[in-house]
Amino acid sequence: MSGRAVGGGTSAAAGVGGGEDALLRIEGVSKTFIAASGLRSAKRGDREQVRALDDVSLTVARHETVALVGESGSGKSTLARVAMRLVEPDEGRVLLDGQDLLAMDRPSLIAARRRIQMVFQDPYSSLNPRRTVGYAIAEPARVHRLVSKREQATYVQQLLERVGLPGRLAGRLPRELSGGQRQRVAIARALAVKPEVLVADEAVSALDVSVQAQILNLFETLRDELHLTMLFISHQLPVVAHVADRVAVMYLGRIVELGAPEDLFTHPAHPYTAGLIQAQPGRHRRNSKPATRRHSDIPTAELTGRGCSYRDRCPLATQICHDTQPPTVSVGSEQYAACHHAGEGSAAAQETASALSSCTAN
Amino acid sequence: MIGRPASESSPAEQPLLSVQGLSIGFPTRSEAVAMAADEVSFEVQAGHTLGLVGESGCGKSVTLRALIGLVAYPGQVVGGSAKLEGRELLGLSQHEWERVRGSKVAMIFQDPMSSLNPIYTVGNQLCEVLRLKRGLRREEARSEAVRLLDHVGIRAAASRLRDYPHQLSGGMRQRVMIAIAIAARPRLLLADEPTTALDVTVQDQILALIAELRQQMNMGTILVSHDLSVVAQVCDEIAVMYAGRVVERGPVDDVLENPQHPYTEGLAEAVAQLQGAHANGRRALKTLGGQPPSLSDLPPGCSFAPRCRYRQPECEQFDMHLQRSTATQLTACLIRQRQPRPRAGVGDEREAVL
Repeated sequence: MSGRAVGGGTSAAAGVGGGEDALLRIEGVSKTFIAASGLRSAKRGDREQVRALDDVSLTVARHETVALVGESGSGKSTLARVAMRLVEPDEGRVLLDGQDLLAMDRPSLIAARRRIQMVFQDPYSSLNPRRTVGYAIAEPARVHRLVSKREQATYVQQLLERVGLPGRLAGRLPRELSGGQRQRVAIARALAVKPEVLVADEAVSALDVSVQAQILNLFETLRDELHLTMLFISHQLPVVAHVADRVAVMYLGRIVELGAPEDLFTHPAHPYTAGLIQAQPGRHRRNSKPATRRHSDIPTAELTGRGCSYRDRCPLATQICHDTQPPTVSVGSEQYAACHHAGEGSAAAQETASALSSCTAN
Repeated sequence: MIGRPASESSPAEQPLLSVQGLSIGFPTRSEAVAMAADEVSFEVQAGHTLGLVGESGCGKSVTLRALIGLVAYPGQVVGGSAKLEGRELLGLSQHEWERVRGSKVAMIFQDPMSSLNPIYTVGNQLCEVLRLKRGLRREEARSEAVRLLDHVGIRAAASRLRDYPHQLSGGMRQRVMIAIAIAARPRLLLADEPTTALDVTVQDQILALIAELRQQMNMGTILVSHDLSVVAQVCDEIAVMYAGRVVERGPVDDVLENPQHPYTEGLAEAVAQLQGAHANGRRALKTLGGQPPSLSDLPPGCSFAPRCRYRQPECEQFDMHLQRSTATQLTACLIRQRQPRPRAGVGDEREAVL
């Protein structure tokens, strides 16, 4: 381990990258959900606990885009919801521009939420099917008293144009629009309250590639023009490589690697990151031989005791991985990984990668 | 419907599946019929995989459904032929389909949660196929079910037989679906976006599993996907659909390296890349402008013309027939049929990484 240890837990990474100009600061956040999976278990009382977030810290600087990646169940959506206090964490702090969201009373929280808005994956279920596009866009602005009734129509027109839609769509219902148009409406609605932070939760995942490219370009334009800070959640690494300044890779409720996409995707330090990259589909692997180890599934984030949460899938795992949780260490300039074996050479990472994706056997 | 692709030469060996001029119509409010698939033709060799790609609504799923007799009402097959090992599939009666489904043609759907029955156990659903389609007795079916589940990579298969679909993860459910699909040893496997709902790591395993089974059983496979990288990874041939038409066909490497149809070119360019995204700093993705047309209101001539950067006035008269434009590729583009796109084109470095 050549890296400099920056602390005992992931919380040490709090100061990383954000610097003085941190707009959103998440500090040591943990959240445990109780899985009520059916009547029987609910009655028994010994319900399964799922550790969705485990001492997570992340700082997003002003005008920065940080992407969260990971498999389902990694906690990326929970983290985004915690950032807006849509989910109350058990521990930790969430600071928006220095103010603790979790300590706020209801009126100040509502005021703070104007500054942080969210775009969801499925624009069809996030828009009211019985309200027009114009209504959907104007509603948040009206709630926050940003526009008067008289200015409302013009305001909607401006927003529609801003997201690349013709103004005449204001009178339409969501079902009359295509998926790409609906997502633009959802973005316009989020922008209606002039937020500083935009949280996009798989906002392009449900779209066709050509539409996806259009929406990604729109996010880029908006980010530059409106000086937005973004938290961008996606399971698609190529998408993330395009939009993010920094990428946080999550696994079972922890950030296991953090860094700039150009470093992280070319020299992954954590075996899990390497595995995700290796699993990306593409032409290069078509002729590889069939699976050697096919029995593999994503574990759920049950309380797994001490040790590294990735140890069961990790081919580099040694005794220390079973005994102690790995600290977050620096593995390059502005790149951090929580792995006992981080930076043990790219050869190791490569080996790891093929073993994890478990169907490459070259 | 004029302009049957005349220039298609079939390979020496007889293909496993040969689809010619398949057309599927849906009635609209007006008199006109919307053609969800219009003169679709392709072939699948035994042991090969054909990728059917295109944007939502291009007709790829309905084409697939026609091949297993499941075009949803009010849509119906209005023309063409689909021969599996020489036997015509289109126009089979419900009764005849019952014998073909499962044992000759099987299908895997995108969402295994909604295609598995939630109130029957996995074992129940798997044994049903084995008893109906392969005539196994109860005990034989049970042990075969265990063998199949193990074969598709499910651990502790015997105990999993008692599980209900909701007790399994997404990847496991899709493995169960695959086990059911291959239970009666079909010749042709149809997969409609089989990995779209799954995580990349699981997707990778499922794609490898399908490829492995295809090889072992010498099945022909058709994979419907909107993801070009998935198709690039597992398919041998590719057919690109746009507004109900096949606009380009050929070996997957040739088509993706040197797309002839402007639509294929646009699709390939719009894919975000992991490598090279930061080579020149942040840059905008190339996009296809506009949207696919409504099937009930297609533009005259080439239906892609309104979005096409190479559009010429004659395109409005073009009947969109497929014709050879390179040694291996068929394309339905007037411009490319006259003058194929040269191999070393602009943006090559981008396509090369796909």
